Amino acid sequence: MHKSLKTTLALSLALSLFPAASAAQVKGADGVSVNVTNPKRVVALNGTTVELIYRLGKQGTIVGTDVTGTYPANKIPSVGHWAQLPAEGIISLKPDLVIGTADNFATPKNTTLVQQLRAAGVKVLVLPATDMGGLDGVKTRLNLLSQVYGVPSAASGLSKSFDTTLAAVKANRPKVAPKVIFLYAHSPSDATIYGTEGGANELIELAGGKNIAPFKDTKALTAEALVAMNPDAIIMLNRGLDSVGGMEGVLKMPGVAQTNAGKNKRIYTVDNSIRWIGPRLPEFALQLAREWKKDFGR
Amino acid sequence: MTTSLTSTPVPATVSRQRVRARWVLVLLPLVLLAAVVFAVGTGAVHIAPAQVVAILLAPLGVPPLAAYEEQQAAVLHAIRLPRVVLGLLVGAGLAVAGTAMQGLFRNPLADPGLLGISSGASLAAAMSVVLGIHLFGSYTLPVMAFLGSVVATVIIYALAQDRGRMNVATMLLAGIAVNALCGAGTGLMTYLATDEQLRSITFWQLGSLGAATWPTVLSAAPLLLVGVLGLPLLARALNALTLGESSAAHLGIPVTAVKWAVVGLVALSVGAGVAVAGAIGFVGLVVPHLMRLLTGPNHATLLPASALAGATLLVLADLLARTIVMPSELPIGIVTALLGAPFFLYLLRQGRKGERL
Repeated sequence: MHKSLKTTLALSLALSLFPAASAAQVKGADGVSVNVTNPKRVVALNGTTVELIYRLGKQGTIVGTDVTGTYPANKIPSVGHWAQLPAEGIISLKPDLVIGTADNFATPKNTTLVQQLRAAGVKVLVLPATDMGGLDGVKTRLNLLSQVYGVPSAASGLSKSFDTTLAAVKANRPKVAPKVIFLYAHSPSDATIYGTEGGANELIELAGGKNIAPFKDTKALTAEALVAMNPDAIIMLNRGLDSVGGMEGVLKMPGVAQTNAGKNKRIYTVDNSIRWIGPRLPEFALQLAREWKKDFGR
Repeated sequence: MTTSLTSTPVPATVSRQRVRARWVLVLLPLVLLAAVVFAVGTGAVHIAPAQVVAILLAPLGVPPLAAYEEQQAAVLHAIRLPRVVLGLLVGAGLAVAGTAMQGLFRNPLADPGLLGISSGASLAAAMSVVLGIHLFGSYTLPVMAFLGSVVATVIIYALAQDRGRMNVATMLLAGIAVNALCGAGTGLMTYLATDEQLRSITFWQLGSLGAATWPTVLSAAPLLLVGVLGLPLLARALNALTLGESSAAHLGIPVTAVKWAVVGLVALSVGAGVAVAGAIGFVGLVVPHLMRLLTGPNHATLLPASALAGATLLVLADLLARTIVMPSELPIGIVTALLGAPFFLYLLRQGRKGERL
C-alpha cells in the first residue's frame, strides 16, 4: 500500500512538472484513467476532496458532495451518506466528473456505484484512500486533483506550505511522548477508541504523542481497559466532547477520572473531520503539539 | 383477519367473492403495468415519457419519437430499468412467500422472517463485512446472505423433524430460537465492526435496490421466479391444509411433501431477494392481508394476487425511496415500514372491530 502510494506520488509529481495542457489523462487509484478537460461540474465525494478542491481555488466547480463535504462551506448539495450513494442522484447533478476516494467506494453498495456511473457514461476518478498514507497521501491526492484542473503550481505551493507547517510541528513537539488515546464518543455511555490506523493515529504521531491503543480498528471503550492503559492525554472530536456534556461530562465517564489524563484534565479536542486525513492535518498537529509541549513540559 | 381463513362463508358471499377475485386478477396486472411505466419514467435524472418510449423502442429499430441524450438512454438502460425489474421481482417474491407461509402455518402473523431467512441472511452478511470475506469478489455479500438464509432454513427444518415428519408448531418455535441466535450473532458482529463496517451493515439491513445492475438482476431472477411461479401451483394443497393436516391428508394431499415444497420455495425466493436487496420488511406480512381482504382466502387467486400486489408495492416504494430526498435517497426498508406498519395497525383495528360485531 505504502509503496504503491509512493510510486503514485512520484509519478504524479513527475507529471505535474509538465505544464498542463487543456486535456489531462489522470490515472486513478483503481487503475482507471480518466480524460478530463477543465471540468465545470464536479461531484466531489468525501470532505477532504472538497477541501482540497477549495485549496486549489476551484470550489466553483463543485456541484455536489456527500454528507462529509461540509468544510469550509456547508452549502453544497449533498447526495447522501458516503456509505450508500445513489447513482441516479449523482447523475442528476449533471457532473462532467465524479471524484471519490478508494475508501469512499469500498462499501459493498458503492462498488456497484462506480460501475453504474461509468455505465451511464459518467467519468469517475478514484483517488487513493483518505485514511491511509498520512500527509504523503494528501499530497498524492492534491497532485491528482491539480492534474484534473490543470493547476500544478497551486499544488506544489500547497505541498510546500504543508512541509513548512510540518517543520514547525517537529520543532514544537514535547520531548517525551505522552501516552495518548483517541476517544470517539457518541454519548456518555457509547464511546469507542480509535486504533493505530487512520487519521486519528496520524495526528497523534505527528504531534509527538504515542497512540497506546493496542489494536488497529475501533473498539468499544471499557472502563477497566482505559484505567489499565492509563493514558496521559485523551483526544476527542469537538462533537464527541459536546455529546458527553463537555469537560465535566468526560470526567464522569467510567474510568476516565482514574487515568492520568482524567486526574490532570488533559482532554484535547480536534476537528470532526480528522479521521479522513485532509489538508488541515499539519495545522491540527501543530496546535496539538504546542498544547502538549506546554502541558507535558520539557 | 383470521375469520376469513377459518370460517365457512355462505354461498352468496362465495360467489360475490369470486366475482371480486376475478376483477382483482384483471385489474392488478394493469395497476402493476402502470406502476412500472410510472417508475421507469420518474427519477432524479429527468426523462420525459416520450423519451422513455423512444429509448425503449430504439433497439427495435423504431425511429425515435422524441430526441433524447445518450446519457438519458444509458441511465434508463443501466440504472433505472434493472432497478425497477429487481423491485418487481423481489416484491413479488416476498409477497407470495408471505402468503404461502401464512397458509402453511394457518397463522396470519407468519412471515418469511419466521423461518430464520432474514436473520440468517443478516448474520451471514454481517460476517462477510466484518470478517472481510471476499470469496466471490464483489458478489460476496449477496452470495453470503443467500447462503446464510438457506443454512438457517435448513437448521430450522432439521429441528422441526419429528419422527420423519415436519411439525409446523415445532418449526415456529425453532424459528424463534434460531432468529434469536442469529440476532445475537449479528449483534456480536456489529460489536466487532469498525465504524465503516457498521455503516455497511446498517444500510444493508435497511434494504436498498440501489445496487441493481443487470448481472445482479439475472443472478437473482431464476430463484425468485421459481418461488413466484412455483408457489401458486401449491394453491390447492394450501387450501386443503386450512382444514387441518389430517383432513388434508384424507383429501389425498401429500401433506409432508407439500410442507417441504412450501418451505423450500419460500427459502429460495426470499433468500434470493434478501441477498440482492437487503432485508426489506413488511411486504411479506402486509400484502397477503390486503389481498385476503380483497379476494378471499382461496389460494388459487390469493397467491397470484399477492405476487402482483407485492411487485406493485415494492416498485412504488422504491420510486418513493429514490425521489423524496433527491438527489439523495432513502433505504427502501424505511419506506416499506413507514407505509406498512401504520397500515398493519389499521388492519388490526378493523379486525378487532369485526370480532366485536
